[in-house]
Amino acid sequence: MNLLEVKNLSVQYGSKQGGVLAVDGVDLSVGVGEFVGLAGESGCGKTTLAMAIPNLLPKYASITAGTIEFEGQELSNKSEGELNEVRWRDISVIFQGALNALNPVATIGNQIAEPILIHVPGTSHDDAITRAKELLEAVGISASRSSSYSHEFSGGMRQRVMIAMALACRPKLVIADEPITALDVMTQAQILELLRSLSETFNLSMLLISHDLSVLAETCDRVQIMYAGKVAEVGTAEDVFGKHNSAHPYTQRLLKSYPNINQERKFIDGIPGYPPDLSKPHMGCRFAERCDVAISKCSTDEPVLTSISALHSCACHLVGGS
Amino acid sequence: MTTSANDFELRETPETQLSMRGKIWQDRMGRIGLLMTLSVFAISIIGPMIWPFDPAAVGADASSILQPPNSQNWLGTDELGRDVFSQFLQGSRVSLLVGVTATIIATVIGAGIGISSGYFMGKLDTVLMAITDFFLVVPSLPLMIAMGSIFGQNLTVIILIIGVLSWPRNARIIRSQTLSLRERKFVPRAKSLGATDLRIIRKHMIPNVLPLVVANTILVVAGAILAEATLAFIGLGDPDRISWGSMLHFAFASGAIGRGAWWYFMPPGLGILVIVLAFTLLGHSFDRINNPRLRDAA
Repeated sequence: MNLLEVKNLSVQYGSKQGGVLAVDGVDLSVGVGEFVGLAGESGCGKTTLAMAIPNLLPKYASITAGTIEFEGQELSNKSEGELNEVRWRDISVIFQGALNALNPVATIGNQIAEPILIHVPGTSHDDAITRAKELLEAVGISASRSSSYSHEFSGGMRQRVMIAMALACRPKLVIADEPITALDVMTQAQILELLRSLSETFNLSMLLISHDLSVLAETCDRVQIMYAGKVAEVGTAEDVFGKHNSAHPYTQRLLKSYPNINQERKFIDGIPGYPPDLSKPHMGCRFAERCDVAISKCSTDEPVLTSISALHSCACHLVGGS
Repeated sequence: MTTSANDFELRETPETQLSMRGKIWQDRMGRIGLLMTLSVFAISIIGPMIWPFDPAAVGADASSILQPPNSQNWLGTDELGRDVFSQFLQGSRVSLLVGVTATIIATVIGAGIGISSGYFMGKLDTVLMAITDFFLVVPSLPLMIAMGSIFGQNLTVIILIIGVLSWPRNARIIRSQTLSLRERKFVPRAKSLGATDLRIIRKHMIPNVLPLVVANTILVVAGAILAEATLAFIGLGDPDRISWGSMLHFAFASGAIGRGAWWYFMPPGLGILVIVLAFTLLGHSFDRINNPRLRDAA
């Protein structure tokens, strides 16, 4: 059984112009010890999907349909109090823009200890600090730095602190929302390597959100590509990113948007146009307008996710059964 | 990971080694303010040990009235033959006591209202800020006079009146800072960790607004001392406690100012000037240290 099984999830943001369906009938599964990558361009619903799992969505967002099953228990209809039992102890989050998520006037140790004090009742402050120091060591920072403040840390170190904070209550699933954005490439590599090694030590599963495909290709077991609130393609990293494997035209164009270091330098084809306005109802395939292989059916019928092989599925009329 | 602990050893820069005290000492304004404040505190603490006469002891006969400074009475005597120097020492105690206690009251009310208003926003904010605006625009001196004459002239009442009327500025400043802080990423982070509002306020908001509160508090002390002196000068001080304000009151009422008895009204007047200036300088210095935008403006 999978650790996390999201089925047919829809999340709507209320806005004055009407609701925006940011996530529209999306499935997602994460197995025990598995690294799943979530990719797609800005505004495609990656973060919304991920934050819907522990229900950390803003007030004006609501889950309108679907189920979120974590270890067999349904999360989407739990109360705030019940969710607090799950958050951090089972599912924790490394937030987007973690560099700013530290309180400038609290020591690092106290901040890492905070989730422990909140979620493990009866822990003394000293015990929590001791645990915070262990966690600092685990992410490669000397325990003696627990009394330092965040401004005394570099960007990469602050990111490590955020990871330590996510691991504080020994969760089973970590949702890492762009954990390496705004870091330089060397630091990115270190952080990814750290996440990998920690997942082995603590037997973690991870949902890794990034728009850097190369990062996902290198780190993840399975990858899910999203476009305009829908799943475009899902499969193993090899299925989705492999040279002739990617099935969806969107994935293919995304891959073409990256320069290949082995080829001669040439102008990179981006994907012209913009994703559709999600506040309006949409007919047909959402990528049709920007797709260069679209057929007439694409603008009238919405493609469904069809499996190509055991783990590989794609939502495109040109691929699979129909 | 091969990164060893040593890679992240903290290199202390001179900037981080300087304590708050050191930074104030480096600032010329702060140094003068600190020295002045400390000397007034010293006077008020050692006053009772060194005053030559009981400040309240009335002179023996008519010849001791309004005497200019001499070898016995270093600052002369007042219209009842009391020693001005001893009264001056005594007066500093009342000024500081009122200034500091009234400020503590004003800070607790101001910070409480400011933080809850800024953090919870919405209806609570509207109501609290309406109250704050009321107290901000109400002319405080007439209100103090009115309250003083209703509740009587004793030191506790005076402290309460000044404290209750000095908080609105504090509340406004702290509210605006809280509003900006609550949008910082560590607040939603703490919230998603499951931290309660009370915990976020206690652990994240208060420590962040503290420097602002301190800088502002020092400025409020100056205002409170001045308010006490004003009340005492117009005759609403505590008749049992000599303060610099009440010395000025009696000097004025007894006609000492018209008779040119400078030794009577100059010491309390200068005392008030020095202490208000001291706290103002110190407060601005604090402000400048905490607010980087003002740092180069020296």
